[in-house]
Amino acid sequence: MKFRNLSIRKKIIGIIISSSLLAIFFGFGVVITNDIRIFKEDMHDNALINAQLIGDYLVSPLVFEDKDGAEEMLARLKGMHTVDNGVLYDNKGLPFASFARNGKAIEAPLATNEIIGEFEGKFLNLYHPITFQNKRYGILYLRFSTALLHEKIQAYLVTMICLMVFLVIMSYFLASRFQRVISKPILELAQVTGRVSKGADYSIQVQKIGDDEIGDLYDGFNNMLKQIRLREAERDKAESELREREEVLRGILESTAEGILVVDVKGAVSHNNARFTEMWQMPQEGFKTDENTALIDHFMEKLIDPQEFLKKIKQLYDTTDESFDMIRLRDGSAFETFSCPLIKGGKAAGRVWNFRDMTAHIKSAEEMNRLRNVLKNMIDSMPSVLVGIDSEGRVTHWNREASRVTGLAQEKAQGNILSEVFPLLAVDMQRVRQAILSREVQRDAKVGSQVDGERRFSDITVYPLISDGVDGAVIRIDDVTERVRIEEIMVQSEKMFSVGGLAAGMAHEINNPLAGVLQNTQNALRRLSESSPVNDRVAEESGTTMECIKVFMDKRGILRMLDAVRDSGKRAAVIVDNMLSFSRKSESHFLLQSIPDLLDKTLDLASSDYNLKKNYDFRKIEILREYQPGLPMIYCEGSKIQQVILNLLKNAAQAMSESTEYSMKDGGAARPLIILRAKQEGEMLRVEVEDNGPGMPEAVRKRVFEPFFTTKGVGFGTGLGLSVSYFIITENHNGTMTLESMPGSGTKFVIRLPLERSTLA
Amino acid sequence: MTQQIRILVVDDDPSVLLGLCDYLEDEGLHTVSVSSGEEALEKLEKERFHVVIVDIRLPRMDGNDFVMNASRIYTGMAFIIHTGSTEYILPEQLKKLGICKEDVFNKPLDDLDVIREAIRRKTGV
Amino acid sequence: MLNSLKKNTIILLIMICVPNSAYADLLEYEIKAVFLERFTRFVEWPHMNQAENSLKNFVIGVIGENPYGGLLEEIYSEKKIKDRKVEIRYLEDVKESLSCHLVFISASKKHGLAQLLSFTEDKPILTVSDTKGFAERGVLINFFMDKRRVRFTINESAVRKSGLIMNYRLLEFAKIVKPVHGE
Repeated sequence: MKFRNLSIRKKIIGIIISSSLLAIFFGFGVVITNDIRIFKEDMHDNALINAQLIGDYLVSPLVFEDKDGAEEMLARLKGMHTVDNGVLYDNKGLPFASFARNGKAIEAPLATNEIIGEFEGKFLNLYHPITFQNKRYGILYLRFSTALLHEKIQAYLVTMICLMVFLVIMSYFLASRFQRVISKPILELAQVTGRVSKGADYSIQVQKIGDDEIGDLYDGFNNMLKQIRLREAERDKAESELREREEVLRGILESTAEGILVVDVKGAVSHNNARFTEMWQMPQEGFKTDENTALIDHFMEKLIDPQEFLKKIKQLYDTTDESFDMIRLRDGSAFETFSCPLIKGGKAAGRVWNFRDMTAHIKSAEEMNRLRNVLKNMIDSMPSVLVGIDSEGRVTHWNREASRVTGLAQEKAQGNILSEVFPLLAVDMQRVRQAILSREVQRDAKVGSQVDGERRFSDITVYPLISDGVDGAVIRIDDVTERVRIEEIMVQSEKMFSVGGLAAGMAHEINNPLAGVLQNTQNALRRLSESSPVNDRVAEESGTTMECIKVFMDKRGILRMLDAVRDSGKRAAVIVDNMLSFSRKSESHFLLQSIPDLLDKTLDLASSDYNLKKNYDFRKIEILREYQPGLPMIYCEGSKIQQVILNLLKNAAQAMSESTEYSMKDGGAARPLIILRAKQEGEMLRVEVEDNGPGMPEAVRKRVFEPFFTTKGVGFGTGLGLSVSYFIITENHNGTMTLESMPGSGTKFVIRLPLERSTLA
Repeated sequence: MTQQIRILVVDDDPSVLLGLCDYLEDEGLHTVSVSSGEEALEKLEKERFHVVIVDIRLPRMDGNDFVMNASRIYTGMAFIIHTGSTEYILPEQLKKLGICKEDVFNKPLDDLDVIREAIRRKTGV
Repeated sequence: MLNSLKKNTIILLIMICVPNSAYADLLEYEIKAVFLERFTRFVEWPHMNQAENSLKNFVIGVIGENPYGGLLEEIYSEKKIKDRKVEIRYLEDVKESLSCHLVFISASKKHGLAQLLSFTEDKPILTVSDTKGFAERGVLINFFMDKRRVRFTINESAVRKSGLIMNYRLLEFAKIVKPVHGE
């Protein structure tokens, strides 16, 4: 038990006793040592006196060299109880006489010349020279037993110790009596303090006893209690506020969805919230072994890549860096991990770890991503252009078709103003705005545009986004060019077939009268111009000759008239025949043909065609052939196809030569050009005949296949050429025939023929 | 002169009938014209003809039926079909009777000589 | 002198080596002669300094038959007593003892002793004898033999009476007769 832990009472007693003891010991020590010294000195003095005394008596024996006398003299030492031994030496240092109390003489010690008294062990050795009248006669050695001295000292010490014990007891008694004067008020104060601290009752006041320092202490104590009361009130208030704040903080810490772990500099857990325990499935009883390694081991067990994490931790713990990671656990969880150093008083005191369970988030993000991908795939797989915009007209979505059509990747388009990235829609921005404002779907069908020299049509639909309060719109653009074309073709063929059917029916009825006209005209001509037995006989019977009749007929131009009737009849027959072909279906002449060969043959035919030569010089026209190599042969009626192509070539050549506007354009230097193309297009073989002529207006374009529709002057065409071509292609060959033309940009006829014969009706 | 060739012309169009008969008469052939199949059959029961030129589109009995009926009465009768319909396809029954594509003519004929040629082919005259 | 020294040495040697009896036997008077000088060491003569002029030498007187023979002269021829040369006188008359510091009274004076002593008793003369009973009769120092050991008796009263100052050490050593009491 340490001194400072002893009670004040014991301390005071202890101090007093130890002080007294110290004083007593010191005092007694001094006294005792002094006394012992005095004892010794006394003995020494006595011995000296005795030696002197005996020495005096020994002078004479020495002088008279009387050993017996000396022995007798020494024998007197018997009366001196302390003397144990004695030896008398003469001047030569030889023993002269000796004395031994107990009969045994001691070995004679070496004689010296001086008076020497030395305590040696149990003895006092004394050398005393024997002198007389300044003459030395010898030396007396006396050995005194100190037994008596020791006995005396012993007795003295016992007495002294008894005295000391008595004094100590006295001092203890007194100290324990008098310490109360000091300790009582202190103990009282201590008691009060104890009561105060135990009961936390600061209203207690102590009664002052005196005006000494303890009195001051009491005053101070009372004052202190008063102060404490005041402070305690404040502290209680502050504490309750603090506790409340701490509870709030703890509540916040516990209520957060993040697992929070605080480790000290050694990496051992110092704080963590319940969420952390739950997330990491920490053992409820905590770790049995060393916290630090156990925690890390626990982490390691759960992680997919523990080594990476360990490395990171080791790096981190040497720094004050913040970290931000995503860690993945074996059970499929993923935690977003944020750590920052914990700074206490400007020094790193550990590290705070935040673990956010991102599993669900990641899953939902993955799901969202998947959905987004699905959505993106969906909108990308749409054949329509789909563009999402916000209320300011900036692009938010941009599908693959949009990228394809505009040539702009989604990344580049996103965020830009729609009209800048999609010029096609520039004219429609008003509609887009209207859709957003009115929240009604806006449609704009068959918007035409020129793409790569091709007339394209689009349906533009603007759907306002009204679902989640976000203003914006989705614009859907469908390329309906094909549909429009098909529609046009449908309309065309419907029209054509009704016209064709009508014409065919009509033609049949016309054939009979035409036969009448032609047969009878032939008969008439035969009977009027040819000499035959019948004619000659009838002429004779009529009183004239065939010669006269012929002359008359010539002169009156009747034969010429009849020829004209016959020609007109024949022309009408051709027309009717053509008309009849509208509804004629025949496979009789279908053979495997090479379209490029047919095209080339037709070109040869065209250049040598009389009518063509007459009206325009085919050699002035540049012909480009763009045939896709390795085209398959197809089943078709070669002559009919040739007829169609020839017709188109004629039309093109005519159009280019007729149009003064065209020849004026480009200062007349523009070279007439016809491009023939043949290429495979899916299951069809596509043949194009394109000229760079004046093109045709919409009104013409729409009616161009109609029978008897012609822009050529009277006599140049029947108006059936394209109709016949159309029927040859569509009816006979189950193909399609379309044209693209704009005024000023040439005309392109497109013929599609099926590759497979089986597709024929 | 050999035996005169007798031609029966069946057509409902009088001008066609007239034209054909005039032409064939001029060629020295004997023609009888009727305007319907029934009439033609009556004629065939009374008279004998070498060649029958028949229109297809006839009122009531059409050309094909007429040919079938006529062939039942007279075997070995030569038929020339002179039709206004370009879509006319020779029926199989008629082909069995020995009528072939060369015996079919579409109206209007630029030159009636083709008919004369056909008759010559059939009759040898 | 060499001779005497040699003699002294021999004596001493004998004293050490030879038993007391033998040495006593042989050298009784030699010892007694030496003892005379030794006595003087313990005795102070009053007025000795005054008498310096009169008695330059330390005078040893022998009265009666000389038992020493020539021993005294032999011993004291060189030896000094109290830093004085020693002069041996053989006294015929007691009165001559006045000029002596020490007077040896031989046994032959047995009868005239009282007379002799009455003369010297109050004078500072150290009287020495070696006859039994002389001390009691008033001789200051009287030799006697104790088991062949030369010892002596001192008459303390006589010493007091003589005016000589005798050191107590000598008294302690000697056998005392007629001691002085009540002092």
